[in-house]
Amino acid sequence: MTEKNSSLFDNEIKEEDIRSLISSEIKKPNMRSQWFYYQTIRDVVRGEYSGSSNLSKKIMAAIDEEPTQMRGYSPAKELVVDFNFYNWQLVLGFAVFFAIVFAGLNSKNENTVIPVQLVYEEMPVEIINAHFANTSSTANYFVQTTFINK
Amino acid sequence: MQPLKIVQKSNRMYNTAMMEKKVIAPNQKPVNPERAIDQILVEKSQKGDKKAFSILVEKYHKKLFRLLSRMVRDQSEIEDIVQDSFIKAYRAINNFRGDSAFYTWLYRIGINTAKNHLVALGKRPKAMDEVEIEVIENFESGYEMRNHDTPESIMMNQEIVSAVSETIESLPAELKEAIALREMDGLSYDEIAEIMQCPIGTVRSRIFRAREAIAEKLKPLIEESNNRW
Repeated sequence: MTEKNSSLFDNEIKEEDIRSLISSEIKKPNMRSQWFYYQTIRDVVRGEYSGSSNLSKKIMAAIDEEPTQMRGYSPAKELVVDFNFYNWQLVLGFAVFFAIVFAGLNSKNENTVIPVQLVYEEMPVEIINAHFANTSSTANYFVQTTFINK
Repeated sequence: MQPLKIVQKSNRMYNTAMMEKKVIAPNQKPVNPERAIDQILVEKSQKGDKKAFSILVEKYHKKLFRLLSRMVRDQSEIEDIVQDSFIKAYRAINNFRGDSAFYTWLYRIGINTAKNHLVALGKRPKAMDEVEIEVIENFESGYEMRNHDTPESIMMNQEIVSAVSETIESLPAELKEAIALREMDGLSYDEIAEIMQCPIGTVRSRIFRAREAIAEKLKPLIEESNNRW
């Protein structure tokens, strides 16, 4: 048992030392029992003692059954995003970035059509005609034949 | 139960003089160490430290019991209400922002719990206004905790009182005086240091040593008492 805990019980601690003292004392296993004895002594001396009760133990047994309270553990609050100017700038930045990437990918797809045309141009006309004669049901047939006839 | 007669009452006159001497400078906000300690214990409880909350329980459960005994007469009912009040306080601890003292907040919970309890029993709760709550918060006497007042418990309580009294009597004079000035007269360490004409560190040490000596004598009796109930 420590002298500092005795002073803490009497609220006789400098304001600047309170926090560090509580933090260190609370880690000690007997802080609560020490306060219990000090309180009993005070009650007896002041003529207020009326029996040793296990009430505080019962209360703490019930509290131990309770889920631990954690300030700040509020999922609803965590999801709230403060859309200030900085956040809007960030969102705009991402939007521009994705727009550029999207445009880049699309332009690549358009270019892939060109090699097909080049292959087509190098092929003899009779082979192409023979091919389209057998694939008359496809949509390409109508497009390509129009192009060849030109 | 009468307070123990330990020191000469002449000290009380000095006490009054000391109280009158206390001056707070204008614009200086007085710091209430008790409130500061409670606030730190609450903050720790809010961060999940149940040990911190247990100190608040130890500190206030008897006081809350005495308060509620003004509304409810049955001892076991009061114990249940006190327990419920602390559980409610613990569940709502994150809502406590320190706008009032912790005990004021706790007592309001206690009074509301007692009112609900009485309503559930079909009894009309006694109305309490703000002034009355304030008066009750500061009261120290009244109905006291009793262990159902069996002859055994009465005897055990008498043993505990005798042990404290006899141990104090057997203490060296300086320890005896220090503990009496603190516990009976409720003087601050500064005031005791001035009366005993010694440094405040010495007062701190004397009070601690006196308490430890008394606690050592009490331990076996309290353990025996707790084993019985």
